[in-house]
Amino acid sequence: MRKTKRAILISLFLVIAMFIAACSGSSTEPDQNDTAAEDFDLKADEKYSPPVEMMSVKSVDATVKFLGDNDIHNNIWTRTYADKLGINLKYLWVVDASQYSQKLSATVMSGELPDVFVVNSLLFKLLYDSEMIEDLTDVYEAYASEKTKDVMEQDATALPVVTLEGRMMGLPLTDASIAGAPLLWIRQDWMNKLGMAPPQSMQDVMEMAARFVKEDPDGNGLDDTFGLAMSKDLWSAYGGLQGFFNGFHAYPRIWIERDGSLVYGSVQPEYREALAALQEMYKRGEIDPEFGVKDAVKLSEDIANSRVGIEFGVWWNPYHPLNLSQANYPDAYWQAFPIPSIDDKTAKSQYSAAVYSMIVVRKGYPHPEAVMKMINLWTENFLQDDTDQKLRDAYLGDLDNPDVIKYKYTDFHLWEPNNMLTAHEKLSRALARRDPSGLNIDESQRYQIIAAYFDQGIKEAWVEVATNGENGAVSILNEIARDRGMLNRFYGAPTQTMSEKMAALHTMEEEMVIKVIMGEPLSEFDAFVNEWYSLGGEDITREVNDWWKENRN
Amino acid sequence: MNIIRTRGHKVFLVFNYILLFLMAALCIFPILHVLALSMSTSAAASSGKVVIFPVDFNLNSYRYVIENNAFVRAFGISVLRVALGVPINMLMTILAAYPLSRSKSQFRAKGIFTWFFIITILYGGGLIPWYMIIRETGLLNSIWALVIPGAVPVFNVILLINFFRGIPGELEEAAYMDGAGHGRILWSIFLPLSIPTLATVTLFSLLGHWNAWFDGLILMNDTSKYPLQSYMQTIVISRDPTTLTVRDLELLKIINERTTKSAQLFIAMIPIICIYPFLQRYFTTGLVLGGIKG
Repeated sequence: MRKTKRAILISLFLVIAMFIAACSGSSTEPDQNDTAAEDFDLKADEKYSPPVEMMSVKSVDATVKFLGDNDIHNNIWTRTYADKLGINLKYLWVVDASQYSQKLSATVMSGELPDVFVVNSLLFKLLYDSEMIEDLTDVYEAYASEKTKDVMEQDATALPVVTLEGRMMGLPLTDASIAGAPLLWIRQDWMNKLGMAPPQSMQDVMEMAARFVKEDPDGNGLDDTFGLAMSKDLWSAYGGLQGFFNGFHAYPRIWIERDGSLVYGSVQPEYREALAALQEMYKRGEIDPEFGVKDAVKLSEDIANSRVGIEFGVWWNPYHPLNLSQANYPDAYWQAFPIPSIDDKTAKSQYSAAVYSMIVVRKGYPHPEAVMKMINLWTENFLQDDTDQKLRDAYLGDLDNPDVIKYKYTDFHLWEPNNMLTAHEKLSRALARRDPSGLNIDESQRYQIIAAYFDQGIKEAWVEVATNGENGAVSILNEIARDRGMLNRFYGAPTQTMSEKMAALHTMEEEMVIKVIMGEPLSEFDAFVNEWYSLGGEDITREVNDWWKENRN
Repeated sequence: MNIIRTRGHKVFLVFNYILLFLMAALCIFPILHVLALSMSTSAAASSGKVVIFPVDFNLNSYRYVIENNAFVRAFGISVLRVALGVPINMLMTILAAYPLSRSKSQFRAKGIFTWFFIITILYGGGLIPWYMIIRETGLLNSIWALVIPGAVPVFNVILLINFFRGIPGELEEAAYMDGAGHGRILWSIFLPLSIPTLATVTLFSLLGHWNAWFDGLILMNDTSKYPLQSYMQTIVISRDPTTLTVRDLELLKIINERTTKSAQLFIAMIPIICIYPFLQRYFTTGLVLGGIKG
């Protein structure tokens, strides 16, 4: 008995000692502080005097870090809002991004609405239906600066997402839609080794997959390679299947125009053909038999170990996870290709409106235009070509501390949809004439990295070459934007039946796809199509087409 | 002891041990895997080379974790939570169990009060009412929000009631004859006799407080007030891969940083690993004892 007591005491002591050691070890804080807001000459709208209060809520993630004694309640952005605009921004709560919507729902349900906050499109619709948010149409007309209007209207899909019954009920957090379009990524070094040409058709892709499986392209003497990278997340941004389906002119999960009305891509006959092809590949051993239980992390292990050489994914994949290949195989090089086609029609890459979330204002908040001023501050100063380095260091993230990303301190930032493509065109021209003059800070950084790859043979720089280089992924996005893209034609707020039933229909689809690929008969797909219509799909299609009648242009 | 000598029994024993060994290995494997990951280089970890032995042994991830304020702070909050929560749980459990274990002649309204407790096991108010009550009582965003709402663990109360009932009435009568009141009887007779059950109940309450994460996420208004498991939840959760954008790249890299993740998981396990073995020997006896009615 006594012995046990002592043992408990000792173990408790160890825990506490460890904790204390940990505390004392953590005192090495960087002592530098952010510069004060007054130090910068920012373009700002008229300042409120006396200042106004604004209550908001904020999501943060593991990348949100602070220097010195700054925190989420007191940082360069909150100080700037107060000093330049006279807006005292406070947060009711701050929560991790993974729990944001749950916490926000609890807050909204309990009737405790913040003044200004970011919502996803589901909650947006709900708040609108319960008349809890302010109509921002007039605020937008009167207060949005020229640049703000330009950014929000560059992409024709952005404003319709936040427009309900003709009124603008929120401000869209825009980004480049085209960035979500799938591309085909292939290990260039494997292709070279086996003496293969870039695939011209989906048949070539499948043949390449077969050869990658059989001919040991990584040369380790083991039969350990697969043809196609896949995980259980079928529509993931890497190792997803959209690209494969697009090669068959099938467009999973988006709405496409056909014979004068909108139809759902996942229930079209082309989808069946793509499934049949995947099933064949699985049968021949070209797809990992364990894909149904692999998550994104496991898939990146395969990529790191050079077990796979063909992947469908988006343009930034080289930043992650394709860069992992180089850890074990320094010569690894992934090259992007446009999605090839199964027949003589050009394949089109699918993409959807990039507005996943929007800013809304609580009904009755006396200063709905305040948020417009905050957004103007962002667009006028930080989406301009000539933003100087000092300003960027202070507000976006500084070069000395690359992991401190300061724009994440505020939710009131958005991105210019066309920027990626125009910047790439500028960069390509500069690369072609080997002269970086005329490039802005971002572009010239990219220029340096790409030059380092070619001039100094720095292999790690391939990541930039493969994305923003002359023949990199973004050049293909340019093609997609011109005439190789298939935009999701539905970009409104989710319809009634969609909010209720879409999640269940998505699960049903996923289960069906995995089952069929792993060998169940294709009639499973036909059964799915019938069920899809009867379990809500019919209503959804009708609602989507009603929306379309009002919004087609 | 004759049966052991039969041949059939020997065979059974051998297989029994093999089976038990395999099951034990199955339980220990994930822990060893996490430990090995935490001590490997991240290149080895992200290539999936690590199984149960570290590859390229190093302790960098532990240094990173110990220098990571968020982790250390969350650890501290969890320790505080346990230090406050477990004593309050125990006090409430004992004080509720004693009267409810009396006979009906001693405590007339016993039935009503017992149901008053049990109904909370059967029905919950739901997330929103729960949240609103905590908000209206002003507990939101303080450590007490993690301690007070769960102050009376009803399951533990029932366990203890059943054990108290099993204590022979004669002991209580004898004490009463010697002039002891209820407080004295509880403190000097019942509690010393029920140490195994108390240990079990303490363990339940300790594990409950240490492992709880959801209440921290919902009730704390600031990520710097998260207890350890809420913090852990935010680092181990995976993102919805279909809506990833290039802005999430930094986050993706952190999520894929498996060595530091494993180190944090492992450190979070240590306190329980330390305490569990000492309370565990009461655990089985305590649970069964509470189950037998006198």
